[in-house]
Amino acid sequence: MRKFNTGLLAISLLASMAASAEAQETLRFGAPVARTGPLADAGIKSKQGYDMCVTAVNQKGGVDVGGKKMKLELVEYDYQSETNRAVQIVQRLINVDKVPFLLAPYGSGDTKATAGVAERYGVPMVAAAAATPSVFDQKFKNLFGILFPNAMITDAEVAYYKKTMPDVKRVSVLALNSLFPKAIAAELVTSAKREGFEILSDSLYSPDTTDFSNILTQIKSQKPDWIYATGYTQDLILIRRQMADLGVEAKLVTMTAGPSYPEFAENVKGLAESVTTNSWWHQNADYQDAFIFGSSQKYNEAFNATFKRNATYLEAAATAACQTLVMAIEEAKTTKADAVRDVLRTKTFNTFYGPIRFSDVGQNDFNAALVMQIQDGKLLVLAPDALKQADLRPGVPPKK
Amino acid sequence: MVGQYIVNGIMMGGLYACLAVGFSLVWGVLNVINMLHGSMVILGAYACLFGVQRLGLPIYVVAPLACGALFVFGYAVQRGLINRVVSQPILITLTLTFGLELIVNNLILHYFTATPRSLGINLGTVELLGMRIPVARIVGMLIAAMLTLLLYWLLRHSKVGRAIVAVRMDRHAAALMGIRIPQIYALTFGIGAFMAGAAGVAMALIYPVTPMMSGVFLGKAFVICVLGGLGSVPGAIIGGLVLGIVEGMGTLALGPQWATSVGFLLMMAVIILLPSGLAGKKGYE
Amino acid sequence: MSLEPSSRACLIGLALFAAAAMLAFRLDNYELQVGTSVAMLCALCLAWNIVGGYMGYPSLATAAFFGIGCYADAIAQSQGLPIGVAWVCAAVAGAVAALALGLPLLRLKGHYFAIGTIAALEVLREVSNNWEWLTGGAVGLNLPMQAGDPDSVGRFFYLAMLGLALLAFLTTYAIDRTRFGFGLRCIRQNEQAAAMVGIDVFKYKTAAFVCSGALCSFAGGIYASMVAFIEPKDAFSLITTIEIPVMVMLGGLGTLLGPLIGGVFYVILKEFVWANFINLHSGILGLLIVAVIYFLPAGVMGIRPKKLGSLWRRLTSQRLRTSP
Repeated sequence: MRKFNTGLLAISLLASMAASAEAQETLRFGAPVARTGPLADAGIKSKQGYDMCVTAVNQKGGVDVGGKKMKLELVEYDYQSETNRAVQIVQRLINVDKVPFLLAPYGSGDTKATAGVAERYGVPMVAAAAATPSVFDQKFKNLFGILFPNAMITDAEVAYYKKTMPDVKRVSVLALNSLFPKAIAAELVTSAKREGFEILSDSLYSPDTTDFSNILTQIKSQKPDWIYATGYTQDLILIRRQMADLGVEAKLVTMTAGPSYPEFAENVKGLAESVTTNSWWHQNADYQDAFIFGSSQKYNEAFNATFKRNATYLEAAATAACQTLVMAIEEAKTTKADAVRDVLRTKTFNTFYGPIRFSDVGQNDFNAALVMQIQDGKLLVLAPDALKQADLRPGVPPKK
Repeated sequence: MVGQYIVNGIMMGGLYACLAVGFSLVWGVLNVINMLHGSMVILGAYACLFGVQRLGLPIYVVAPLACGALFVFGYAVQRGLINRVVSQPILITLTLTFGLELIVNNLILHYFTATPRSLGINLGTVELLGMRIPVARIVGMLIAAMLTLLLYWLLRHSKVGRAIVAVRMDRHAAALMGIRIPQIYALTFGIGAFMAGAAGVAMALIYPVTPMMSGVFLGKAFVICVLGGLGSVPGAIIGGLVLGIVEGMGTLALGPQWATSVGFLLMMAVIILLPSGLAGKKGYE
Repeated sequence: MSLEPSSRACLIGLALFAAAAMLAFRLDNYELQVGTSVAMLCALCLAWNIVGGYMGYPSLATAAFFGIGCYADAIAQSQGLPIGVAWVCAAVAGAVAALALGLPLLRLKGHYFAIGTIAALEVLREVSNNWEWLTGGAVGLNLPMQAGDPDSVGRFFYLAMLGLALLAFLTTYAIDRTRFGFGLRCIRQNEQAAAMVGIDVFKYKTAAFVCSGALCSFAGGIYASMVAFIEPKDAFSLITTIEIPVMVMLGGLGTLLGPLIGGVFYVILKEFVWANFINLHSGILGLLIVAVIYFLPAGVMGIRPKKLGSLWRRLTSQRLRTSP
């Protein structure tokens, strides 16, 4: 009997040693992902971004924590685009899966709600897709945002168009009544007013809108030089089509962020021509990345090899969120939250995404705003000058 | 400009009517709130996309095929599933169709993904007295109007149609007259699905299609149905046109963020003040 | 000792609540979070059951009152009121809203009532999305975070939600036992007949609706305080409003224990499916709902051991009945 017990003990000891060795070698990041529900499209794209990071880090041999290599693993659950679910999942990730670090869900509101939980537990959480400063207004110590604030984007756009097209004066703005589009439209109005543009109209549309013909007819009657629209990609596709249907034309048509995604041009075909947009990132910015990917271009090549299309700022920011966490852990030489948080607070991270430096509210404030335009079916960088691929072509639709 | 606004409203109204006819028919005859309707519309749209883009068939071949496929789907769903519980309280059938909606929508999401897709057929616009009318919308509206009139005619003059009307008016009496109720129910649901498929084809011509649109379409169908009067085919047309125009007016008067609320408010007002709808008649015809 | 069925059900319910309350000191934080969700859904189910089950009015306004509760709590707390008072404000706001909505809506029946209530939900969501100075619009509202370590905060909200569910349960029990409940059942059976036996039908209906609305809003208030941030799409969720009646149906309509069992059963079902089928969970949940309708048409409460054997036979031989 005793022998049997000893044997059992030995086995269980061995098993527990094996388990702890296993556990030591794996570093887990928790991520609520919107695989279903209204945010599914963007949610799945951010997941692809996370996967890029996890694969690349593991190919390199894993995360180097004070000389010990740990395999990186993503613990992921579908939060169905529902806030209540996201909050519950973050609780699960922290308490059941015991993840030491979190990646935020896609939606701005969901990020904000889950950040409250992360803050309570002191678990650092990096958000890839929240650009609106109001998400960070609680001054949480554990929330870090990769995207720089909306205002940097709108300031860059307004400054560029003012310089290159001085005859553009009158702006009509149309935005989805939801956290991000509403916020960026408000920033655009502020930036434009400050630079002396005239705001002809500043309308919001409801998330259930199925028809834009009347608001576009109204905008047409205002004869704006510049039309600025922002919302879900499928809304922007419909808006662009209905503009063509109704013969709405302008010197400038800017849409956020639809044209950044390849499906915009795929859906509207030729109508995409000369539509301008903006971006938090583009592979042509070609930042150097000594850590994993080498450079923005090489990141995009790697992404293309896996997913057969170019990366947009959305996937790149997701990859960068994960990569920044890994870099901070390596720098801190520990997986202890306090040490990693201090590194995140103080250091600048040079990644393929560009330099990342978190402000005192936790949002990246390194300005790398891009102004872009679709020309001959390709998305090209117009500004800043250092990255310029083309000159602005005025007129939507383009004059023959 | 005023002319353009009116045309916009009528064009949207035509599409709305197309969207709601099938839903209204099923509701009126079967007394079932079909939560699956939005997803059936989307299914029609994806069937259309699949036929045109994957199989390379022309749209005028694909469109009837897509509608036919939806008819078969609807007939089978009613015959195999809903008929078993159709006489139970409304909550049971509502829950059942809600469950079916979860299944169908999830499968659509799984196979077609959430990325928006379009047919990419641009039919252009016509200009008339300074008003611009997109051809795709005219086509959509014509399809809707033709099918709706056809349905109206069928209900009035065909044997099956008379049977459907009879069942709607009094299912017990109809059963006593020798009408096979399960058969009629399945046919009605099939016709509802056919109309949803037709709406889907029209949507595919105009909208970028995503699985998430089903909820919005279902909501619109609700409003239109109530505005026009339940189960009434002409009512669906009236309800659709009213909603299209009222949403357009709401956009102009209060801004586009209130447009959908105006529709729902009007619906509440109608439901409280005129429960049989703006068409004002309780029957079908 | 023999007890009446409703008293027995009440005792079973109370025993369940006592067990759940004791678990508060046993469960880890995630389990507490799930438990809080279960308690919240049970409270909403019980609240819905008063109108949907006892009275037979298919209300789809659950999320409307829930959302009003969320915002009332947030606004009260932003005015500096303590959390408990804010919750009471939420309940009062819900009661007032139910009264205001009930006056026109309760004149409708069946489908029309269902649609009227869902329209109210849609309108309220749009109002909260647009009424910026009060609700923060689409940007949402921050609430103060509850101080304390995660364990005690988690337990606090769990017990609060459980307490609310208990309140809803006891309310239901009281309704079940009194003339009020009898009146509601009469209304479900036949409204004209109910009026004839001297029941003030409209007053009864309004009272039930207000009672249900206040409980839903109370739940919303606790939820908003817990999440500490609310936005319109979360507060006025269409999914919640449809799922709640489904849950009660799964448990058993118009019974005392049905909503409790349905809520717990649905959450377990959902968690199980969600954890095991990463991409197809909502479809499989749909399949299960469909299956329940066929196999348990009277809900879990309708299961009688004797009948289980004949279930399959009944299902396969079921023919369309033309009688109502």
